[in-house]
Amino acid sequence: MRVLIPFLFVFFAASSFAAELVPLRHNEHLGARVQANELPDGFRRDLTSGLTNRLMIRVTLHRATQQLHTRSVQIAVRYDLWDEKFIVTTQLDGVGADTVDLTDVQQVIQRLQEIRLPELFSMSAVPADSDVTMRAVVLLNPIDRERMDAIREWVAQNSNRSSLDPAGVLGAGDMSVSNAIFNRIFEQYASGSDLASAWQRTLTTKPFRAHEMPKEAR
Amino acid sequence: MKVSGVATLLLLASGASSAQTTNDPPLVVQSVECRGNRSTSCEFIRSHLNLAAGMPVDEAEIRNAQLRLSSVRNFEAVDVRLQRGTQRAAAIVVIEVTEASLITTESVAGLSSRLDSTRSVFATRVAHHNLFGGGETIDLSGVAVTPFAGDAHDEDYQVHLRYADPNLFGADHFFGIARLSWMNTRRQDIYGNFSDFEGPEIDLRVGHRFGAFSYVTFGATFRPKLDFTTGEWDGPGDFDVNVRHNHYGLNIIYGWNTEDDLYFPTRGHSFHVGAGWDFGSGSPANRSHIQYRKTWHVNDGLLTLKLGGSPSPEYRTSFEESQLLSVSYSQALQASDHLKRGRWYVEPGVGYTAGFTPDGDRIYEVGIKAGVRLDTTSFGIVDLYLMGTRDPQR
Repeated sequence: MRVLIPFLFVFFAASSFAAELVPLRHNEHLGARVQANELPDGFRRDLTSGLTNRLMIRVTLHRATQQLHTRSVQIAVRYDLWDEKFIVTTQLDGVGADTVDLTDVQQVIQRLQEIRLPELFSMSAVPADSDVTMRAVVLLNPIDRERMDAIREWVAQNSNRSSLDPAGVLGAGDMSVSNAIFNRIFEQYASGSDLASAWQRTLTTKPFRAHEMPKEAR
Repeated sequence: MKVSGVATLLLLASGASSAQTTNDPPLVVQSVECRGNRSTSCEFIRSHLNLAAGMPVDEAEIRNAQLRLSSVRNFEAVDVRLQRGTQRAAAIVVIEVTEASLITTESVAGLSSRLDSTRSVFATRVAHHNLFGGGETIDLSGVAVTPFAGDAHDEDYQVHLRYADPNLFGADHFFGIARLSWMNTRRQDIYGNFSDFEGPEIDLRVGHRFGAFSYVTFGATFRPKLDFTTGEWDGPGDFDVNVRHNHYGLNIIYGWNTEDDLYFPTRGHSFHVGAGWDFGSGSPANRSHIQYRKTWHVNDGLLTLKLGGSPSPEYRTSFEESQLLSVSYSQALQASDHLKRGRWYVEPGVGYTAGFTPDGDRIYEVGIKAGVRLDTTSFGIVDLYLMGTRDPQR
């Protein structure tokens, strides 16, 4: 057993990252900053794929264990192959698109690493007499349950028939060298998530008194 | 509105967007190209994408195809991107794949105390999955069950070399498996029931796959040099010792499998039933003739019912210790750079052994198994567990 303990420790050690969620008060709103948001390896290349990359941030406000409010922010980045520019669109709860054009991939990376969300919750809806916390789940290119269910159905019918194993039952007894990304998504649904993504991070603020925070200029 | 509702609305609102702004003409697929595929045909890759030249670029379909391809065991990674076509409104869809290693490994390490015998269990397996370019598999596996405490004795050493052809004689629906094994198994319980088997074994099977998930196999087993003796209480005061001479065996197995994953199932079920003369050439390993497994979601975890152990024991030469009937609860572990996926599990179960007590009573066992199953980047599938059972009648 002594041998197993360090062995298990190696496998259970979660990958560390230094991203941070910091509350801010702007006008009469409570907002947040996602700082030092580390993006996955290969994301820089994905940005120039010509396909739209979406970063979804679900921010929830909590008092103790009670969830008070939720906002969803989506930042969509698409690279125009002909004009060679990045079109970055930000939406709050699916409305109010704010679009900006950027020419350099580094500008996009910086924008996604330091995300400022100034007006998430109205201060009037935030408790004045108790500590609150904010939690942000950051998902890259999330997949909703309905879409994943359709893909899972396809996998169930076809995964046994890959070119390496057309007979199927051989593989069923032997191997599953499925992509790690696919499996991660799979496991998130297995654990009850409604949205899943190959890359996601969860950030939480320390408890704070929103009404005692200084107002921050933009 | 619930979080999921907001998120879903948001996705629906944005999901249908194309790769163009509204002012641009809609993008059209000029062609679909493959990169990085050495042993997999581009035709096979393209068949996962429901887009062809002349069709509008559909980002949702491209993402879905990427997921579908990611589920295929041929690939370790799949990347899809667009490239400029010859005209402004035309795009080339490029599917870049990183083919998976054709060599896979699986290991088991366990410690079990079952019915007065405490033993260590080690098993390992290495396989090549595309030996001649047609998906032929060859694998070598070994099992060592070594007792080190207890009044009973349970010792088992096995080596298996197996070759499987997924397209026997080029036929789409037929497959064949040949196995050469050497086994040395010795068991004795506290009542004197014993089984002692040593020798090589050759097993040949032909299978036919039909319907969506079903298969049937016909097998023949040959034991050229057999040393097989059993002794069992058949009733009060009646102890039978048999020197067995069945050098040949024939069997038929029917089964189906709708599980989404063998090692980490989240849905579906598998079943097989077998019959025949000397069915189960691995009978010294006490394999069950009926196997069933089904998995359900329960809150944040999974509940799995197993009868007769894990699926496909007729093909697998790897080793998994479990009781005859068990219910397993498992939860996912956090994936990391070294861990593709993993689960911890607890598995209470019940069973019974061959033979009776000198009074003619059936010998039962109840117990629990707990462990972790990991799919690691460095060591493949790894199973670590502890198991303990006892006879409830004592």
